[in-house]
Amino acid sequence: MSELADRPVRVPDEIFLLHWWRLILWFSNLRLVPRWYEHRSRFLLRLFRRLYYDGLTRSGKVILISSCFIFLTSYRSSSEFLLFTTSFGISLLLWASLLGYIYRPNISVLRETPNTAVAGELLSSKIRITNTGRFNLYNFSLREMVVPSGRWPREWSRPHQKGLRPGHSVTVSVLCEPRRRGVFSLSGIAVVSYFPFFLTRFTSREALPTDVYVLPETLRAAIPSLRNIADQASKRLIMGSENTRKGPSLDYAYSRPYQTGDSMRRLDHRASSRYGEPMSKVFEGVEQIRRDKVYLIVDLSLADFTAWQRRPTDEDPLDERLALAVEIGRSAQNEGFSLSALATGSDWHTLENPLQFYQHIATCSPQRGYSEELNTLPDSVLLEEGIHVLVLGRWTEKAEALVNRCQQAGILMLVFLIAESADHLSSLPVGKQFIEIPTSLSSTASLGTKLTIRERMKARLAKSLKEAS
Amino acid sequence: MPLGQIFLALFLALESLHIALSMELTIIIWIGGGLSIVAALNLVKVERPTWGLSFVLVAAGGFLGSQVLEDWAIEGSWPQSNGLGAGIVLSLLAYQIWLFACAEKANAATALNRNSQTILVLGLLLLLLIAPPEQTVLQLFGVSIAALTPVAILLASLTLMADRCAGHLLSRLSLLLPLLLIAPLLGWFLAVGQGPVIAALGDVFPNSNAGFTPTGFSPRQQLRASAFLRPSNRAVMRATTESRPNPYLAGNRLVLLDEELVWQPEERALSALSLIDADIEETGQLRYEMSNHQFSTGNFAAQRIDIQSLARNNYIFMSPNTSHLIGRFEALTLNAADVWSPVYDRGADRRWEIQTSDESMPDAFNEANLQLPSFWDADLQEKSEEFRDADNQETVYNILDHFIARNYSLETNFDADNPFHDFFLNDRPAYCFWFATGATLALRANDIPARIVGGYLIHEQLADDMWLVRERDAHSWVEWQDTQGYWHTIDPTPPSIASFFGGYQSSPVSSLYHRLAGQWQKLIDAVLANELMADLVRFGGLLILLFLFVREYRRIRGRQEKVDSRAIRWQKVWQRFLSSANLPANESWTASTYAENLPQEWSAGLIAATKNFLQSYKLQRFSNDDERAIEAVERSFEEYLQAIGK
Repeated sequence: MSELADRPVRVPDEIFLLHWWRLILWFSNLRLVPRWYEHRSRFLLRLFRRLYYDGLTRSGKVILISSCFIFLTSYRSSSEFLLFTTSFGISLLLWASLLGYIYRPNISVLRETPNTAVAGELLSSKIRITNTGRFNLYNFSLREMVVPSGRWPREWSRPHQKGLRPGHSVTVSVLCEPRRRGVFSLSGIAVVSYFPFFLTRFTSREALPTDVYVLPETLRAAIPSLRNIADQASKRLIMGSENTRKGPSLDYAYSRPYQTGDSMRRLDHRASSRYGEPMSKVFEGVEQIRRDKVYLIVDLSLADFTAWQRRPTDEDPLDERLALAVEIGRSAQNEGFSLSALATGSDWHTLENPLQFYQHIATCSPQRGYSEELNTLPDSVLLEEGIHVLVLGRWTEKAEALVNRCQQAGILMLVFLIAESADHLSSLPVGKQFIEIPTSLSSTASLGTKLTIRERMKARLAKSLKEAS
Repeated sequence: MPLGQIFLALFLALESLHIALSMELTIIIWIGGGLSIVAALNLVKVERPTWGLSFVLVAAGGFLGSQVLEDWAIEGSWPQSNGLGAGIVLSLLAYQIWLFACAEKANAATALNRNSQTILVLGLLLLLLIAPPEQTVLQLFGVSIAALTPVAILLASLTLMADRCAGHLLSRLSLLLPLLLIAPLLGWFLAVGQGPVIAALGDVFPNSNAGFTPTGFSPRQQLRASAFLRPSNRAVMRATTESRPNPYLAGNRLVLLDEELVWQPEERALSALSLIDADIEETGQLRYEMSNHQFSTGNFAAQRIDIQSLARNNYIFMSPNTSHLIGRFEALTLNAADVWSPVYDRGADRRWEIQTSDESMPDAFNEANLQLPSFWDADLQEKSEEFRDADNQETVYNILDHFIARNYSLETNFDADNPFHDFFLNDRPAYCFWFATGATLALRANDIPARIVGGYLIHEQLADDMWLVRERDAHSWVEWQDTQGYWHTIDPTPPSIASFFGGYQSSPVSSLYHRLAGQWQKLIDAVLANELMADLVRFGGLLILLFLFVREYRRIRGRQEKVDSRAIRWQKVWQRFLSSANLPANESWTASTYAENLPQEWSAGLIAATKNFLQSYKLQRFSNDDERAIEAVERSFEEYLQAIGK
């Protein structure tokens, strides 16, 4: 289903018939139902939603609809007892609505929501709710107001609060689930009161906007230790061959607090007993390069993102790549490296803290990669001491040139590839610094199962583009 | 037991009572109520119904309802006439009890409970939309109250409130007291406002047929000075016969045209045919002999036509030369409008078979067939006498020639004071009823006994041996009596009526549907003709549904067991790993902890193999696809065993 944002771009020198054909295709797939924003809907829609959707539970709706039906159909039969059933049902709902209005939620709300979330995983916000009304607040539950690209817990899985006295506060966890990478703009909190008979609802909305940076879905793959790869790769870089010398000659330098990933053999038992916490010995050698910084370069281009498209048809390969970048960043931090800079496409961004890294990952946009001519990687790397990590979806000539330039300059660059289509599987050169991460594509290929139609089409498109270029 | 569950069980028992009283089947109370109590006690663990199971349940309910419940139901109760609907209602009740039995009890931590909501929604729908039984209607202070429905609504609310308002349930219930005042007051307002509301809705949604005169057979027809016929494509009958049938299907024969221009039947005592007038056929159907006074020209030789009614009326239509009528009816009544109306056997389809015959007998002469209406004057008589010829046959031909040469129209707009004069003397176009009236009266004016016949004209062929009759095929024609007493059929309607049919053809989809429905009916008839085959189909269908039900239930039960068994497999593989690696078991250690703390004295190969397995375990243990994950880890464990074996 395409949206307004997917309207085809007129490519220079494109024949009009082709452009119109694309426009027709786009229009035929155009999404006609607008996305649902709870706080932005039009008056009539809002009124209907407040009276019917927000105003009645399912049991209440059945009573209302059946009562109205009986009211209309009992006229011919002149049935008094049917009319009494109608009057009882409707008066119960009216009375419940009146009581619900009198005891409606008058509240103030404070929100504590994490800055980052992961697509497809629950995001929990701590909501502190204070009853500012004159009456007790009975039988209520809280939910996030509806905004696009989120999934909301159903009514029967929201926690129920029995009551809240005037002036009192309670902290409640409210869950929602962002469904895709990007900025998830939560608009506010809705407090739903079921008082008095659970047939009616009264919903009070509090605008409490906040932005959450949503990272791509977690990658189900193991990331090898950066330190190990860097050590092995740098030996080869400096010595020309890793077989020339067995084992480094190291000298003790100092001890520092134990970090995840440190070898047990390096535990400094004396220092540990002295400081009361586990300490690791740090050794330095002439052939070991001192590194404590990681520079991450992520290729944001997609091969099937063509010139006339405003957005790629499938962003999943890019999300997988970004998920790999996140895993590498976290792994680096766990191993004691500091993530100093990130290049998304051709631009470098320096990173002061992990949140900046997550913001860039969440907000970066896909780039066109249909041609080798396009500039999808930075022209230069930061000539500072540290490890450069290049994350790719396909092994291109540009990437090869960048890696060669770095190697000639004596800069260590590790290359991680997560294939964006079946054609790019196992395309990396052999070497310690080239690591291919298995993806869903490689698992289907290795199992010998047939690729899905979409994957086959993508592979065919990539092949044709390659031939054309 | 949580209070909410008790109220829900009571609600289900009340619903069973309501349905049982409505269906007049007391056994439902005991079964429904008993099962509700058993379900509340949670004695047996049952799985939650899936969509597939629910479908099979409802289908089986409908099947059993139509095949069994119709026979069991009390005479005159609604399940007798609508077994399918009753079966579906009972299957919905069973579905609710099933949901209740498998629901997790006492879930007051959430605002609403999904299963309770579903049960209440379905229950309230059945309770409110199935008419309350008369036994439950009480008189309180002069007000008629169907007692069960308000109680059910209250129970529904109590079910939702009970566990969530624990501690102050009584104070919450006291809030219901004002309803004792509000409900009667609102009832009075509704009673006053019901008429105006219905009228206002009628204005908002006007009848789309306003301004049009509907077509279709009507026992007493009136000549309308101003009319605009709107033909309807609704199907009325399906006729099956070996050879081409007589196109006329007569409903009644009318004799007297009154001052209001309404054709009336001859006044006579009501007549009826009962079992003693009928012969019993081998198939169990009854064969009634009908009086055949129709002159046969040989064009329509003796034939059998099987007719199935698709309309809601209870009329029988026959060819003009019908000698016998066969069907599953206990009696046949010739009603006041001169239409044969049957009393069908219990559960019988609305169908009959016509047997026509060449052999007929003359009818007695009746003065009523010569009677002219009160508005008949010299001008009309003069014009009628212009058709007179040497003998009656020639006179009939002259009259036919005259009317056939005129024009057909769906719209009439005659002089309001003397519409018949306007039509007859000025040769104005009209529809079949006017032509039939004109021909009948012209024949009578020439001393030829004649009467008007109302019925349908068969012309839409669905298959070689199947015809469809729709409301738009309603027709009027004329029968005249010769000097020997035989009746002859003539149709004075101009042939341009064919263009009228052409303009109102039904859609191809409708034709296809009726063709398929007709073939399906033939197939069913062929199957049901053999008692053994019919039983085979009935019980076979039931067995298939039962098989599907058991298979689906076993599947979901097996799925649950699989989940349980996978948990055991995870434990097993971990314990086997620990024992084979001779590592200590510590519940607070993760796979990573083990990987980081492997004994240093182990060989590099052993450490690598162990780390590989632990890495695999760490990655797969909380995977989304548990089934594949456990298989992968088990494979990895086998590899580990092979590695340490080497």
